[in-house]
Amino acid sequence: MAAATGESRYRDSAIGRFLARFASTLKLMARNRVGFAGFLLVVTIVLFSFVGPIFVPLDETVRVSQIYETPSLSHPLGTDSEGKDVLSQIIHGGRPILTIGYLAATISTIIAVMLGSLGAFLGGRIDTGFTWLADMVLTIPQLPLLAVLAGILSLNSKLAVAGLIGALFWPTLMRATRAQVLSLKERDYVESARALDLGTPHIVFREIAPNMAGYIAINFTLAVTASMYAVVGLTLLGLVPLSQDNWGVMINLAWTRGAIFSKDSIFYIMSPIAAIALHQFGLVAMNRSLSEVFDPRLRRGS
Amino acid sequence: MSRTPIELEHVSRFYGSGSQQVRAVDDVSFTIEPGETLCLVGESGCGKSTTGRMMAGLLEPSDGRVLYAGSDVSKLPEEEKKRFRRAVQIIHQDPYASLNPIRNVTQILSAPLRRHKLVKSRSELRNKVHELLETVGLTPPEDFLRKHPHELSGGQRQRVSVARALTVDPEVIVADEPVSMVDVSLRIGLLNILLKLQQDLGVAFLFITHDLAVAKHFSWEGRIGVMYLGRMVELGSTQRVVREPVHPYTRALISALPEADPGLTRNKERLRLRSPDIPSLLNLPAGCPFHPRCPMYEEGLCDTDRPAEDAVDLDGHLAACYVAARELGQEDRIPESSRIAASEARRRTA
Amino acid sequence: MSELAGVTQGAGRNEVLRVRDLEIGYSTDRGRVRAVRGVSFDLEEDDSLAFIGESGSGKTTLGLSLVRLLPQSASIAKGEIVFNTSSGGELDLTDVDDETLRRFRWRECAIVFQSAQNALNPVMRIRGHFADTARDHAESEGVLKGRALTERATECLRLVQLDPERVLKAYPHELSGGMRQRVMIALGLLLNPRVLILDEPTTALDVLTQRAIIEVLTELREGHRFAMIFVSHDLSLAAELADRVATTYAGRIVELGDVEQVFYHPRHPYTVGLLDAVPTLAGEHQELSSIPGSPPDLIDLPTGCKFHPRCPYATDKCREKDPPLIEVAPGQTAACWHWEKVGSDWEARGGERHEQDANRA
Repeated sequence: MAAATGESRYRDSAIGRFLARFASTLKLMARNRVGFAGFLLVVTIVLFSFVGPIFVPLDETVRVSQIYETPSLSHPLGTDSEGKDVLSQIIHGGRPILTIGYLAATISTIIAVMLGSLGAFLGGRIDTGFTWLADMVLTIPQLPLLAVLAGILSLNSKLAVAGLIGALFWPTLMRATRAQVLSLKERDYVESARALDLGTPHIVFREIAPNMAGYIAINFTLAVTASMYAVVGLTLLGLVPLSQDNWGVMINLAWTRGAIFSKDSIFYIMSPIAAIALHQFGLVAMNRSLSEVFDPRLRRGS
Repeated sequence: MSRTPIELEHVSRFYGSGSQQVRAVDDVSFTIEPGETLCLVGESGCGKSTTGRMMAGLLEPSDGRVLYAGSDVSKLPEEEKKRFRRAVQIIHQDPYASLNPIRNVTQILSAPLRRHKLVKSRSELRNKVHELLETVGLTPPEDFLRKHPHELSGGQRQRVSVARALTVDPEVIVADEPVSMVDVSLRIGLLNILLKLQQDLGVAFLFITHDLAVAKHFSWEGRIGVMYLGRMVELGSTQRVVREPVHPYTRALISALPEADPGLTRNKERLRLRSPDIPSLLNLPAGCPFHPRCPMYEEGLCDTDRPAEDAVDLDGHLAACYVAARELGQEDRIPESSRIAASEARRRTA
Repeated sequence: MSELAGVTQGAGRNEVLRVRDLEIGYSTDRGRVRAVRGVSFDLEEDDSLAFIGESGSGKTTLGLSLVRLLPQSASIAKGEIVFNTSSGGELDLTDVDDETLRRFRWRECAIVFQSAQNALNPVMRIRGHFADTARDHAESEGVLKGRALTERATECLRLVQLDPERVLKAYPHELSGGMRQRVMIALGLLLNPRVLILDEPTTALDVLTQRAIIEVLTELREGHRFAMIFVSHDLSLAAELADRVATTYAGRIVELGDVEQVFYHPRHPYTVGLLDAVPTLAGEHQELSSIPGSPPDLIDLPTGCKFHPRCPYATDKCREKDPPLIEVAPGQTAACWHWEKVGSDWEARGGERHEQDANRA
């Protein structure tokens, strides 16, 4: 594959390579139809929630005469207890939940992978210490703990909420990561890396961890779903003082404002639930495509 | 690059303790001189792989010392320790596990070159990678640069393994069964590459194998060490060990090996063993570990003391057998306790 | 085109298996793997036939096909596998229903897998394995069980030099690799088959254990009237046990003959290449060489003779036309256009090597 023409010079540039990788990754994901559908679903919902608000203003008008209306052309998902349009609320309501969900998952994944990999690779007292820490966090019932801590600490930013959730959700992934690393550590190519004196950070993060990338990615998506449920749960319990309306708040309001007792309010209740559920389903379905992406043996051609 | 001998001095490796202790390697001593080939031969569980790893610094001996240029490796200053670790490299048996599946050939070879700053620019890196691929016969190199391991055949992967070992300019390569999982018709090609490295670059080899015929071919000008249940039972030049084996275990191995020649193999005289059972490492018999199966077993002589590696010493050809020592006129090398036990046993049966 | 030339055997002995023009393929994502591309051979009652080949030779597929134990993705594209059963009838295995197949397997033809393949159920004692085997292949007249089963199993275990009392009540993990392999041979013999197929019987076993297995197999052959087919990459195994040897390459037999013909007077360049690539312990240091190139890709095979990319004798004819098995001597065939040259080159130099070593023994 000798680089000869000017065309390949472009292809070799950083942007070119990135785009090429991106395109081939998409192609790989497309190999599994269910997975790709899930991926598209997630992308759609994320775009709706982050880009949508730019185009669709949040309906703040109170229309007392139009409480809990059924869907119509002007209000495709009906109205809420104050006559406000539900669809605009759904579009605006995703951002905080999704942000916290992804952020919390990122935090817990980073903690889990670092502690799991280093502990397994270095062994000895470091490993015992990390495992002990994980066990401690794991044995405490998480949602009640979350509720108590949320009540005590002042969670006035999305980062704080995400951090709290992330700090409690890492142990399971950490143990799974640790088990994987313990096994991968015995592989011949890791032994060669040791013989070549490539150094612990290189071995852990550039030889072992990438072989777990698929595993980590799948667990990351599961962490996102778990974190989103956690933040919705906290919101439902009224423990998260977020001022904007979001999907969690909508469910909370449906409960506190008696929407669950009225037949017509079904769209108000189901819309945020459906939005959350669709996103989770998309993530879970997407996992099937992720294994295609991350296993080089399944790739064909270069 | 100076070439120094690497010596294993009464090296052992234990697992567990007390009655549950397994002595995977038990008091083994030998030296690899610069540029020589030494084959470690034995069946599974004999400790040859463990010995190889201790020589490569990948496992610490539970007892004894590994000496690099005369100094204990575990006590070397960091700088020297680094040099030692790079001086001994390893090639593995399984071509499907020896390379990281997510990296391509260029990445695999570049990592050590970059890490140890053995190249100063991208073009130098590229040239070095090309050179390495050509040394191991993967030509034209361009065809292999971007390939991932699963796109290569078993033999090609082994060659990449060899190239990787060469990146740090090693003095010794520990080759752990490098051809056993490669097609028969391709083995010699791979072995020839290793032999060329020995000739051209002066690399020494600790070649671990269970196949005596391969060991004989590879190490014809070198030495063979035969291991059994963690101990070295015979050590000497290949030509002498293969043609005039001293230790009964070596003789059993040689006689048991099937040959790719019907007339030869069907008429070969087979040494009969006393028992088919292989003792477990947890429950070794007293004295010589081979005695329960040994056709030359003598009560008293063989089950009292464990024979030393040099119970027989024929001008550098060593064997751990007292019966052989007696037959070869080296009785003075047999310890008192065994000689007494032997004569008592003889008196009892007389 | 049928490859009968040179395949017929000496007259007067019972033929037990007849394979003609067998073609087997697998479907995979990458395309169709042509694992067996037209194999024909005969097997007599007491015969011992070795299929020697490396990766990509199709030998394992061939072995499995004889008991119809191929995986789902495999299909027999054409050809026939005709078995002469002990009751005197003929059975074409390519065209047979499941029930007949079940009764055929193990009673007429049994297969012994590689010991490393963990073919034994780890949570079942050995006695259970025998019972299962007897039950799975029972005839309508009744199952071999109870005391009759124990007696037969004991007999089989003694045949393979194992202590029946100890082994029958043991679990597989309590036995060594060599013992497990012998148990599998005993299981194969349970229902007195006419043909025993062994897939890599000594691979992954230690030298001394291999010797024990070879001894067991040699004794079995001398005492019992069954035919043996074994499949291996190990030439020395063929040298020990085979009456006839078939070297296989890219899904076909490329040379077939008596063991002495193939080892001492090969006529196919692949056979020559294999012989030149295997070191012997006896004798001096040898000039050995590898066969250049790589094993064949069974999905994307070259034109003409499949060995030509690696063959020192290749000419244009080889690149265009795939040679059939040609009779090169009585009872010996080779699939090579230039077999005469191969033969004369071999006799001129390599012939002496083996005779020399034989004299040393």
